[in-house]
Amino acid sequence: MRPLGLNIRDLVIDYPARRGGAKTRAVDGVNLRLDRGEFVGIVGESGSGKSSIANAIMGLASVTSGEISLGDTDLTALRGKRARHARRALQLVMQDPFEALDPHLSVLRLVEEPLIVHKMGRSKQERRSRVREALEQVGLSPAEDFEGRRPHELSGGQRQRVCVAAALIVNPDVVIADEPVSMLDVSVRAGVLHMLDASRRRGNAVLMITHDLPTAAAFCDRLIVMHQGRIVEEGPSLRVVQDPSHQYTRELLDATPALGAHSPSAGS
Amino acid sequence: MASETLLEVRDLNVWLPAAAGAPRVHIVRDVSFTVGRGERLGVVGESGCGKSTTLLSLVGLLPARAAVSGSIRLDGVDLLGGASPRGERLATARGRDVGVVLQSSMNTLNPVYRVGRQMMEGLRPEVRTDARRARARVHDLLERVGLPPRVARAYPHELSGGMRQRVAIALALAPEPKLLLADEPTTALDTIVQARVMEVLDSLCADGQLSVILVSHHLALAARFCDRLMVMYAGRAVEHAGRDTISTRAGHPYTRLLLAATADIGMRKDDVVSIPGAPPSLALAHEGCPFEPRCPERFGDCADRVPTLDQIGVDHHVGCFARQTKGHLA
Ligand SMILES: Nc1ncnc2c1ncn2[C@@H]1O[C@H](COP(=O)(O)OP(=O)(O)O)[C@@H](O)[C@H]1O
Ligand SMILES: Nc1ncnc2c1ncn2[C@@H]1O[C@H](COP(=O)(O)OP(=O)(O)O)[C@@H](O)[C@H]1O
Ligand SMILES: [Mg+2]
Ligand SMILES: [Mg+2]
Repeated sequence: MRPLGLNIRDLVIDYPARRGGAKTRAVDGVNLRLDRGEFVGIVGESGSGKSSIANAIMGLASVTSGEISLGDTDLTALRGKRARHARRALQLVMQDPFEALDPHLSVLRLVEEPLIVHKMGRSKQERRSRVREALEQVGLSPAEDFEGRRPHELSGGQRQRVCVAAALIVNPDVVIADEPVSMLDVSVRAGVLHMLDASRRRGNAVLMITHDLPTAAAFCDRLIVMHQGRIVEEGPSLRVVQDPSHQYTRELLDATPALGAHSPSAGS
Repeated sequence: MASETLLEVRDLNVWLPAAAGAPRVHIVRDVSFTVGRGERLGVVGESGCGKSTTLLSLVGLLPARAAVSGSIRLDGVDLLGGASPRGERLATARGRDVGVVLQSSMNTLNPVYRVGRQMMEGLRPEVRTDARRARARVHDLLERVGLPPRVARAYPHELSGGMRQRVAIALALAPEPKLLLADEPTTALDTIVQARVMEVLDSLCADGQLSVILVSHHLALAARFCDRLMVMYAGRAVEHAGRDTISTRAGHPYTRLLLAATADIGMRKDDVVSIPGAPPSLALAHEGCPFEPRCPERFGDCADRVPTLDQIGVDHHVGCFARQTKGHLA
């Protein structure tokens, strides 16, 4: 196991002011380490800065100050082609599987695309067999049944599996998943999460953003709780949900609907 | 809860228009349920199972060329009346006796009018025409959804999503309906904001006067808020029961799998399952129990006939051959 995956130090992200208002400090001094083979969750209400971190890692949001490094490479210092090359080791799975996929392309083309972009896979034949392998990996099996379909011929859960396959096919060191199951029915969420977990077991690192605490606690080794741009609590998942130390984490837990606990005021 | 019946829906069937030339699609199939005064009914199931279509058919909000059959009685008055499927009585009931809040309501407030003005338009005429009374009523409604009076002077874009959804609830309540229909009202909101909105709904029901039908794909949320649940699959109701019965003694294999797929705090990943496969397309004809292809308990009969809802316990109905056979043996 390579010792170090992703390392974020003192990250600050400001967005410029809009219409005379003040600038927004979306991320306010975040430190985060993600080792290979780890599955880490970031939880927190909307607006707490979770996506800004993901986007900064992917080079989609500009960093005001701080450092994001992958191994020994400081990603924030790189530009252009070198930045793109370094980020090949990073893949993003987005929230909306309906928006993420080009509706005109077949599943085969969609999953093959990252290989072409990153100039991986020497021949069409080789790429095709890697696509099949990736589809089987995410449970779209048999792959032959799926590779010719277009996104509208897939359910939401199947589409998100296609997104995961397209992310995993380049064998990234780090997978960033920003609310990968928020739009999906609970009935298919576990399937997608088990796929991410399997990629972690193969040695990748997974950083998953979510506001679904029970799922995050079940799948992640560590949880990071964010509030207003800062990390307010961090620790092993079970410890964080069973013995939270920060008031905000407790609020988040209280707000989570559970099958076991009914609100006393709901009549019976 | 043996309360007086407010809404009684019998043998509801809904067909929606399909692409030009194609036959209409039978979406809602023989659904019956009642809602008592002050009662909260949750309608749950995966997306595509006909929950929204069921709900919207109660207030005539289906697309043109939809067809509806069955009966919908509110306070004893038949809203369908056999005649026009999108009858005027449905539209009249909506707004006056039945309020509606949708997932998208928070995004459909009129951006150019202040919140207070939009709310006034929803008030009953006798209140609306008296400016002082109307203003007081708007503030009262805002208070009931936990918002300060100053929100009346705000434009929608100045409010957060959670606040806008509370305004939408206040708008639905303006004419003092007896029944509130809420279709995924918190699905677009994060956990904490969702909890606040659900608390607001909870407080609105506290005096036992308002009935609610909550449509949600979030079983834990519905079980927490509602008195009874109706589980839908492929356009049919497959289980009806009180929420405690559902969480502890669910009868239908589908309900049990939905429960197993719902992660609870402290669960381990291997305990969180998914349900293989997906609900069938309602445009395709199929014989037998629609859940049969995905069902871990299927046997001979399941592929041939559709099970009817049978009572297997107190206020507990299940449409499943496996349960019914076991029920007979027990
Ligand atoms: N592109 C942007 N321009 C301006 N403000 C933004 C932008 N993206 C996010 N923000 C603001 O930054 C804060 C954090 O947002 P975000 O990182 O999306 O949080 P989360 O993913 O936790 O919901 C919010 O106040 C949001 O409004
Ligand atoms: N206009 C339409 N024509 C044909 N099918 C439709 C139409 N509108 C919705 N449907 C189908 O009806 C089914 C039920 O939809 P809906 O009531 O929205 O379910 P839910 O609210 O449970 O997700 C879905 O399978 C959907 O694809
Ligand atoms: Mg986000
Ligand atoms: Mg719906």
